[in-house]
Amino acid sequence: MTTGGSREYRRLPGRGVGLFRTTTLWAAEDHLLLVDVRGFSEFYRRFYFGDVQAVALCPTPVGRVRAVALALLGVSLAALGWTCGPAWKTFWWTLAAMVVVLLLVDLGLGPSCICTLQTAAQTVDVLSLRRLRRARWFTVWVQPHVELAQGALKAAEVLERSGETGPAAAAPAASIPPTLATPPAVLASQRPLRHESGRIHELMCYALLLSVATTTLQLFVWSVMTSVVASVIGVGVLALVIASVVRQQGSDVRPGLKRLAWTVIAFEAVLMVSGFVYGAFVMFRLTVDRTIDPSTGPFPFDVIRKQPGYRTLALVSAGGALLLAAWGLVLIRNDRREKGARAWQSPGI
Amino acid sequence: MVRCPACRSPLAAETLAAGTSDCAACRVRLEISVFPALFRKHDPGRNSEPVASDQESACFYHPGKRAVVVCDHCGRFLCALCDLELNGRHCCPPCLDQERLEKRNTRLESQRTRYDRVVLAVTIYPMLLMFYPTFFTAPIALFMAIRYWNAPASLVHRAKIRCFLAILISTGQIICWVLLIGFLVTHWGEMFK
Repeated sequence: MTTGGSREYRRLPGRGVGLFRTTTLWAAEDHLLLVDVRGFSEFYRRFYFGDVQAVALCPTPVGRVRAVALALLGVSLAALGWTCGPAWKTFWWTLAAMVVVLLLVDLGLGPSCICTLQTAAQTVDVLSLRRLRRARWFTVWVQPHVELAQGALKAAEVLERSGETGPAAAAPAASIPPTLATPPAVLASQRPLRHESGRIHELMCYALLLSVATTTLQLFVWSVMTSVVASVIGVGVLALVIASVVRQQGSDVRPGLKRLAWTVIAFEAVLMVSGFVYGAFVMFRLTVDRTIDPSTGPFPFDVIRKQPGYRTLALVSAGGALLLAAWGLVLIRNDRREKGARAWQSPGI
Repeated sequence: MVRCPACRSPLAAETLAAGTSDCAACRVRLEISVFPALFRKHDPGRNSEPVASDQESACFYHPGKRAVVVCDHCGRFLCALCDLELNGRHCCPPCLDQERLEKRNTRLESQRTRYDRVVLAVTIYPMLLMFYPTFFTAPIALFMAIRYWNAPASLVHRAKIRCFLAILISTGQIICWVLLIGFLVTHWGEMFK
């Protein structure tokens, strides 16, 4: 355990960092103190061990998405450096190395999660415990402290006491629907989950496959027509992925598919930024070299197409889109197979 | 009621008892520890009883109610309704409010202004932008560092390192300005030859 600060409080591992905001968790003899530093003020929340009702954590895909985004950014920057002269090469490769260091640090910290701490008065998402390893450490650490204040609770007691106190303590098991063939399990929720077939995600996957085909085609055949088709499909992919993210909010879509939609958004964002940076760089370099004259000559599609960096970006784009589309289609197929099996086994059929 | 951290759906008793299981609504993997406080029944609150005879002490704030305890701060008699217990001590609502306003009890504080951070920002940010604003900000920062030296620091960081650094840096800035002005005054004539 980390120590430091005042005598009363000991710092617990983990630090949540946001824009002008830092969150840390501290332990005193009889309570936990969540310190939220925003600008020049500190806000405190206390959780007395005698009042803690539950600690819940669940893994999230945020860490993985961030790692993939950083890896793509690193590869793009390295590819960019590869196409440049010695001076610019050093610059881009230094940037790529910094991104790789960030990626390694991110991977070293482990998978991400959400950890909530609940008392009768408040349920707080502890931002300093956004890494699974730290959150698990915290769960193990806090258990004896809370049990010392409240006593232990066995699994059988949880079931027994839930029956006594009813829905105030836990949602009754009887409200779980017996089958997932119907819109899946919503437990006496104030915000019921909407049924979503996942059709829009499927369309997104097919659009991604189409974009793979057009991007690859453009590497070999360059014409105004292929360019227009590729642009239309690119816009279509963006529209479908945004629609997927909107539709999946509060729906019963499989978590894997939800992750896929967010990953596609991150992928497209990284590609757009990389493409923009690379395009600006190439235009700048070609203008300085006087290979092209932007004020008089036509737009140099053919010159840009022959740049190794462009080809690398196109290949990364096609490869990434292919992987994402394959991942999505496999998930959709598995989901349908699973739902079909459950519907077959359910007593109503 | 315990809710899933991901989708905020209430969790079934079986899920809570299992410790590690999937959320029935969003199907993410959950690891949950529940404690007896979850099933604790809420205290309905105490009712103060009326004074039965003239020999019984009455509450200072409710003369018709029987006093059950004495305020540890002001010594007034309090009924069960007015008795507030904090850290094993009994006090009346005005004393508790006074304690909170005067920041005598750190456990009642929910916010603090970090003057040491303000002082360090006033010292350093103008220096990062350009050096000239420090002509004005250095004396202000020095004054603030001395003025807020004894102001309550963070609950968890009691060290005064930021104030100390601010004094050091702002003093350095003032010395630099004095030297620069001194140099300009002594070499003014030579510069325009």
